[in-house]
Amino acid sequence: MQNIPENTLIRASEGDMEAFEEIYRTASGYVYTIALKVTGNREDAEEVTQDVFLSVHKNLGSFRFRSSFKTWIYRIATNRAINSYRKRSKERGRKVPFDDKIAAEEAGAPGVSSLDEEHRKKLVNAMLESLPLEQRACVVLKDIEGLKYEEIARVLGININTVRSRLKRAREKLVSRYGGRGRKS
Amino acid sequence: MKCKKIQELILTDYTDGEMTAFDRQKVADHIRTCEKCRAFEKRLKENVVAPLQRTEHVQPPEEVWSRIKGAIEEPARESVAESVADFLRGLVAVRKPVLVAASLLVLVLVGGIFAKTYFTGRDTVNTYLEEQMDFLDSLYNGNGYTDEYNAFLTEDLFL
Repeated sequence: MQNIPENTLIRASEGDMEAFEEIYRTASGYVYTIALKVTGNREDAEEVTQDVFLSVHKNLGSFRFRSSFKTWIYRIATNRAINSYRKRSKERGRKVPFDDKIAAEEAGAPGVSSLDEEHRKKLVNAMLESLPLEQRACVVLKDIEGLKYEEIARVLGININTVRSRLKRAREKLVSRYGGRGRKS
Repeated sequence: MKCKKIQELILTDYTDGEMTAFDRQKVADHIRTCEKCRAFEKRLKENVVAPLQRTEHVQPPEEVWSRIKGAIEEPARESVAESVADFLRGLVAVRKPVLVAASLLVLVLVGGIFAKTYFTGRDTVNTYLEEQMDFLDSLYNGNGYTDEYNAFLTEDLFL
């Protein structure tokens, strides 16, 4: 995520709506993508994004710059997305499947044929959907957001070895299911 | 290192660049000489990690910002209206009846003086005030005004 100047954060915490909109324009794509890839549902992702930014607006005054703003907003976004998915699963009494339409939301990567892109997007959603929620959140933060293990540990409030272990299990499963011919020896 | 341990590292630290250069080199040396581990690394990177890493960030629809902005600004407008309403309620609310009664009495007195000034002129008011002051003074000092007043009552009113 692109760094947001401290001055912008301070102005936004003092009620400057222009500064807050600048924060939103910089961070909303990251927040929405996390929400989309964790919940697998567009409406839930929109609601999560809205909740995250209302929470940021409400609590910006108490943000003390001890941790990075990026970690802080990732933490709120991931927790809200996880809670949203859990709530939805509880309501339905079962694991909620990913909405097929979310693949269409994502813009195609440059230089790749649209057919390949379509296939990749569906593959990504199928892979994420197949993972337990905690492992899915780790994979999203690592492979889509590109966070370091230490950052993921801070965002999720878990030990760095737990991050390592969740990623290992998730990828073992994904290689076994989507990794092409042959199996891990 | 055995293949099992190497593949565990391929699944995590090696692929994610979380190893020291020294350890990384040891794993890379093994992969170069072990076909099985090389194939495993290829499957992980090409079929799992690369498709995930190519995921683009998606911008939320514009109405999400409109909803956020609306939710932030609405309570702000409400709070201004609330403050005005509270102020007005505070003016009307009778929290301390004695204080209110005293305030009303002062208002009546001031209003009375004002009315007298308006209808009878400033001199009359001054005279009235002087008389009242003299009366109060006589009550306090006992300078005979009471006697005159008593005489007035006795002689002029009751007789």
